[in-house]
Amino acid sequence: MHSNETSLVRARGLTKQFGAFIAVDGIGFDVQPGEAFGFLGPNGAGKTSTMRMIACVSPATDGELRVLDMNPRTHASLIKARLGVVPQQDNLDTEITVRENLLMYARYFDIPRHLAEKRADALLQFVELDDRAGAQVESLSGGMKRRLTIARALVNEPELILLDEPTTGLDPQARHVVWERLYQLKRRGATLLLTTHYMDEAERLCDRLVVMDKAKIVAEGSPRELISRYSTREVLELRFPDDVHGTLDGRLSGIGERVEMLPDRVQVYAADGEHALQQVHALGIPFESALVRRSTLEDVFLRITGRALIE
Amino acid sequence: MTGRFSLSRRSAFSAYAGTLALPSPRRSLRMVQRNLVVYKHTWMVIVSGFFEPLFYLLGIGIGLGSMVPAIDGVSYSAFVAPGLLASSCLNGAITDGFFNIHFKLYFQKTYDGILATPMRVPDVVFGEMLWALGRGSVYAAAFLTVVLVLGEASGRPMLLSPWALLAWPAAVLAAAAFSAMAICLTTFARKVEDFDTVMGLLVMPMFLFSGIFVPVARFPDPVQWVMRATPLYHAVGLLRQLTTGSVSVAIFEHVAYLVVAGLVAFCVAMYRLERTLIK
Amino acid sequence: MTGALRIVHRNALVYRRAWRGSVFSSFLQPTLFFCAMGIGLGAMVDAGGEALPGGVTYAEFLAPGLLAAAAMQVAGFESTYPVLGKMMWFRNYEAITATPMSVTDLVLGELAWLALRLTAIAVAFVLVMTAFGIPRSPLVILAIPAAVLTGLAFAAPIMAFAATRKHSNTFNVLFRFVLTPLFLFSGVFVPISRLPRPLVRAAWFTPLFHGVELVRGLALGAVPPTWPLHLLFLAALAAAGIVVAQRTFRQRLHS
Repeated sequence: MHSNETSLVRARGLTKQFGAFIAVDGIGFDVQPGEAFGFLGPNGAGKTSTMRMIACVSPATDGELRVLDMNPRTHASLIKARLGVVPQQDNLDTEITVRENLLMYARYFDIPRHLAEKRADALLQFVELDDRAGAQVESLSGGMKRRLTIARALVNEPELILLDEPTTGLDPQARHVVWERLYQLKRRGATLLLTTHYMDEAERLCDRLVVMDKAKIVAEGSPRELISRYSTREVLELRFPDDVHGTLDGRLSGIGERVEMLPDRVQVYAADGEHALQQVHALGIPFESALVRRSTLEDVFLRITGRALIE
Repeated sequence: MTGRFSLSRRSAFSAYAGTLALPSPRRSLRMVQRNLVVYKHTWMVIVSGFFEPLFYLLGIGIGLGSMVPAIDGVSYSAFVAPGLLASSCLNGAITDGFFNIHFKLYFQKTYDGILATPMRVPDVVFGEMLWALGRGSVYAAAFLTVVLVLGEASGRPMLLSPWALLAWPAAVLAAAAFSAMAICLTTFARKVEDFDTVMGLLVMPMFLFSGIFVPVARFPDPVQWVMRATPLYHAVGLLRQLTTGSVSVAIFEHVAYLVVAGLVAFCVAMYRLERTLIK
Repeated sequence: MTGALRIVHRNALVYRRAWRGSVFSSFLQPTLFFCAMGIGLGAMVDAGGEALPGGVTYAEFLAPGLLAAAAMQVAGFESTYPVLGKMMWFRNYEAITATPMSVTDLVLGELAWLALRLTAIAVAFVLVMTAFGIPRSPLVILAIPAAVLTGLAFAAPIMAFAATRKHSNTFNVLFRFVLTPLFLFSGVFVPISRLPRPLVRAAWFTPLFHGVELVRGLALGAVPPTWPLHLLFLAALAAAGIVVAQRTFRQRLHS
């Protein structure tokens, strides 16, 4: 853990409780300027609650939290002026047009009118919605609404951008467009803080991430570090006929570093997947299909918690 | 630089109270600005809200007025006009303070988006109140103008005294109180069925029994007691005293009620909205 | 036809949860209106000495008018927001038309359900009127179907209109500029003869006036000789509304 004074976000023992329910249980992390920091975990892990505390719209129950070196409890407005927030569910203003959404939002930040108009036009171009500037928000597709929400979050040129599940519910093409925009923001030096339950999103976008499960942080590091620490380089996925699957107990031991039995398949973790496959061949057990792939964060999560990321 | 804080229930409350700052005028006006942008698209709704009390004035105040004898020396139309003026203030407050806020709060989640900016809950609440009260005030001004013109033109004036000059500021006060109360009420309404309850058990009986069409004194005592506790009764009483010139000491009671009820409602609204939006 | 009945059944299920609100708006409201205006204002009007047609008291004059008006208000409300809601937000209609039910079933079913509710409201109204000793003739029983017909004469065309809407904004305009003026200038509160001539002439082209004439005539035992005209107007308007509604519903749902 970096205990850097220049952390943009710093949490120690951060806790959030709703009555008896503990949503966030004493977590700690640092976010450095210019990095893309991720919270990876299944639904209900406490990611959104954490984001809301950082965004100063939810008071922490216990622990310490400093955002941009300020206390969210006392300096909320000052912090929010330098944040950009893309919430999990769009809360766009459906009563006004696309461009008016950006202009109005800029006014909430006290951005002068002429500057707001320039930024709005630039942002609409950035998210490729300039041809829909005068459209009603309701007429936009889900992907377009997300892009508009992202554009809106950038209207005050924030130092820190919070994105809560930015591509959940979007079709694959829309997801790629959003990722592309987020890459561009990274290249421009923005600090991104995002939550996701998609391991491909986490791997692609995040420089560092924490894995959250059941209100706690269970692992931390860059995607590559996590994979090398908790998994092997490659994974051999085998699917066996139903009758064979039940009889595999122990028969595959010795192949690779670890064998994980899942309900529908077997995953053999090895540094060299092809070699492991040859060993399985040699054992003579008939299988339906075999796939050698690289380890992903999904495998990391499975290793740490024994469960899949997406249930 | 670092602060550790551990909160018990009681200090959680005081933390909430501590975050209840005063609204900033500049930020509150952003809410008014937003409503202006919204209504740029649906201005017809605003215009139509003005006509309802006007129709009642024509239909019942004047239409039926020829069949109703004078009340305390005041013609029926002059009796009804200030009552309908008060109700016109209420119109805007109910629509923008109650229904629209409910929609923005629970369905569109507009305020969640706004609160991700430097805007705070007191700014949002006060801003929405300013808008509702502004709308009510514009209605009141237009209505007063119509009453003046109609009355003079028909030879049966409905504004009977120089005190009527204070009628518009008084109407603004009424609109402010109504707005605050409407916003407060909307924080208690959770289901759509509550709308019917509010309109049916609150607004409609008030409209009928606050003395707009029939002097409250003519109703049975229990009804009178209940009405004296409602804001519309006091708004009607205040405005009627001013437009008919029969100003008495009771005017202070009406003003005091509106000011106090409005302030209390505003504070309760702020507190409850803070609890709802920041959790 | 069974499709229409199924609509009625579905609405009954939904209504059971929301009845409290609509009891207020559809029954309590006219009753309160009657107490304040009929009795409170009525005392003042009767003291004023101006004669009402038929020599009745103001309360007796107003109550049947309020019944017809209540039918209009309920019909107006039920044919706008719920229809739009089912069309757009809850998409019930879409789901229903994916089944073997036809658009005709849908329209007739909704109107049949509304007719049931209007009947219940009208019955309650007549009972309350009787408690106040207002009806002067056994014909008041017929005032119930007359009120229901008045409601349907509003509901059918308004439903047809609602099906074409994308926003509920226009409904506001409908209530403010159509229903409210009708409420005030169709002879409910003031005998139509006391209104300026142009308004009287215009009233003949609007449904509420006809409904009020029928309901009041039946309740007070003084059915006007023009009653076939009133009946025909309301029935024709309802029928035309159903025809148009089928078309707009079909256009909306099958596009």
